[in-house]
Amino acid sequence: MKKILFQPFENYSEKKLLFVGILGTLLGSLIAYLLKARFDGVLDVHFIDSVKIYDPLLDNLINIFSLSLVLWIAGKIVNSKTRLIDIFNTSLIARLPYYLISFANINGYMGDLSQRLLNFSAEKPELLSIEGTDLLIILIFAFISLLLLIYYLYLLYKGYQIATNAKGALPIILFILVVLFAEVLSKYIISLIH
Amino acid sequence: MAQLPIKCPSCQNTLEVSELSCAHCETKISGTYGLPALMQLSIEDQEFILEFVLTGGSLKKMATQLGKSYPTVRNKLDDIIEELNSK
Repeated sequence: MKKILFQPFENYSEKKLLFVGILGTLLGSLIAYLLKARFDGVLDVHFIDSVKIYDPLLDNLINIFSLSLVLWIAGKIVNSKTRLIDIFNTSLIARLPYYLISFANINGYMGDLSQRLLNFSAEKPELLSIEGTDLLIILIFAFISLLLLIYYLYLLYKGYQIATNAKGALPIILFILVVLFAEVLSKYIISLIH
Repeated sequence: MAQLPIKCPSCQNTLEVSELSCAHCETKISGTYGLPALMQLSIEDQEFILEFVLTGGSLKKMATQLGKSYPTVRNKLDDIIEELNSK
């Protein structure tokens, strides 16, 4: 179990990783469509009222493309032997746990809650229809989302580290910079399409 | 068989061979002989190189045999090359 959860890039062949990654991305996109979630950026998740069937898959493909491109360039700087397939598999697999966040929007609950919070007016705070249980759920959601985000970034770094044989500070600095750049790039491409 | 020590337990410098003996006639040769670079590697690294040669230098075959991914095996080889170059 430890191998699967924490060391997949060390122990599994590129074919297995690619198969699981593609299957997981398709499943994650389908679940996001059913639960009305959009992954509109490498590090983003939003719940909205209506989602077209191809939106979550397109989002995820753009995110995977953006991550793969920038991590591959960083990988080539760190180690010229870095292979695109290893970076691509890293981007595919690392995102899989992140897709679980969609489940927070079963019955449109989290989307509705977000909308109620967005409608909050400081002039009329009494109109805010948030109960104590809602606040507790928001806190639990925030905590679980943070854990999934950390796990996503952990897997992303492990995959990048193994693909590039990264050692020292430079690969870590490059990794942080390119992930932030991938976020900007993916948001830009998604905004161009929609 | 006992593992050949390659580092001095007192000062951690690389050990040298100072005596060789024939197990058959008990002839002994004294001198100072440096350990070959490969023998200065850890047992694990020596076994890796042996496996690499036995698989005909195919990292893909090695990865399959060891149940590891290709980049993991390639990284191991790169680390050994780096270590050999530093000797």
